[in-house]
Amino acid sequence: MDSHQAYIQDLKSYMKAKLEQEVTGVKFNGETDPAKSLYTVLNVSFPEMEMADMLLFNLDIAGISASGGSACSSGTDIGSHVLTAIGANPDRPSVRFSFSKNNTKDEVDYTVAKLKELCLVSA
Amino acid sequence: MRVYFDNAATTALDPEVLKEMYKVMENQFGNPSSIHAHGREVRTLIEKSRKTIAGLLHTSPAEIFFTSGGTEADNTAIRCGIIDHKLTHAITTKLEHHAVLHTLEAMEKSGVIKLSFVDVDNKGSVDYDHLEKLLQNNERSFVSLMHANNELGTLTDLERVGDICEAYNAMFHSDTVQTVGHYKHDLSKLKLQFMVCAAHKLHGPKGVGFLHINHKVKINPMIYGGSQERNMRGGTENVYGIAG
Repeated sequence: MDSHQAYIQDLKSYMKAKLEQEVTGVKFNGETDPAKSLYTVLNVSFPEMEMADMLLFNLDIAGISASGGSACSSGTDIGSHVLTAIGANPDRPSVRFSFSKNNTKDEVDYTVAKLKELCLVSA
Repeated sequence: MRVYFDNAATTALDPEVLKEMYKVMENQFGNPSSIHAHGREVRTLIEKSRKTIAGLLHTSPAEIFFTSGGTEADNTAIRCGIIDHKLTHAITTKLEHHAVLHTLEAMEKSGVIKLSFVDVDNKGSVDYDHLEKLLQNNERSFVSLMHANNELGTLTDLERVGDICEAYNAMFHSDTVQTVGHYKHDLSKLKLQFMVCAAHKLHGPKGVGFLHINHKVKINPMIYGGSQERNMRGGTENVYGIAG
């Protein structure tokens, strides 16, 4: 379990750093301090973009499975009740990437490159 | 390239788990409640799994009850914990998984409890002082706070919440679905009454999990039926799942 933890924490930190480097305006939802944050989950908040609701769909097309949802401003059941409750900006699309021992840095590189492309196209 | 970055939703079955399950499916079909050899063999498998889990969590096998997963375990802890102990007030946050939130909201709607929400900051961290205030100003409470938020990953300090709950004689349930198998939980030290697990979040099979109930707490079953799980949960056990 300890070796899995170190491996997965490293993947998460790697993806966080890489996103900050490659995707302009990226932020993170929730705690990112490793001592206060589950090492398998990274919730990314992307800059406002046109077709924000297409982000997950476009990732899916690119072969990347992740979950998401943004905060909602209207008080309906659509969107994430969690992001709404922490007051996240409803105009910024959010994607939760969650890792396991089976993931690799190559997969992170591929995903970040794809995200960079998608953010540039729709910025 | 196909990439799976949704392990908080579910994980791939570990090949070793599959091998074990396949072996049981192929060879052992007995009903664990039967007293003959076919049944006894399967009963042994279940108790072996229970003992392994209890050992990892530093608790006794008598405190582990197999369920269909996290949602059933959460529902059982919340509904039976509150009703059987005649509690009238519950505390949670707006960030809980719906297995917890919707269960508590339904109980509030039907007039069983008053429900209070602890403040959280913009990163999803619990305001521990506010929790203490809510406990001070209300009847004996049922507290439900998740260990790690499934969307944000933000962690709650279970030791700290346990200490606070103990000081106010509150009952503490934690939805630990995202963290069992990822962190070491030492139940000989944690002051909680209920915690839960869903096997498919940690490379196990879907449709199986467990509820930990502290031995000092007595509750009635949520699902009535046969005497499975020491009269705590009716229904023939998910033998393959438990073996996995």
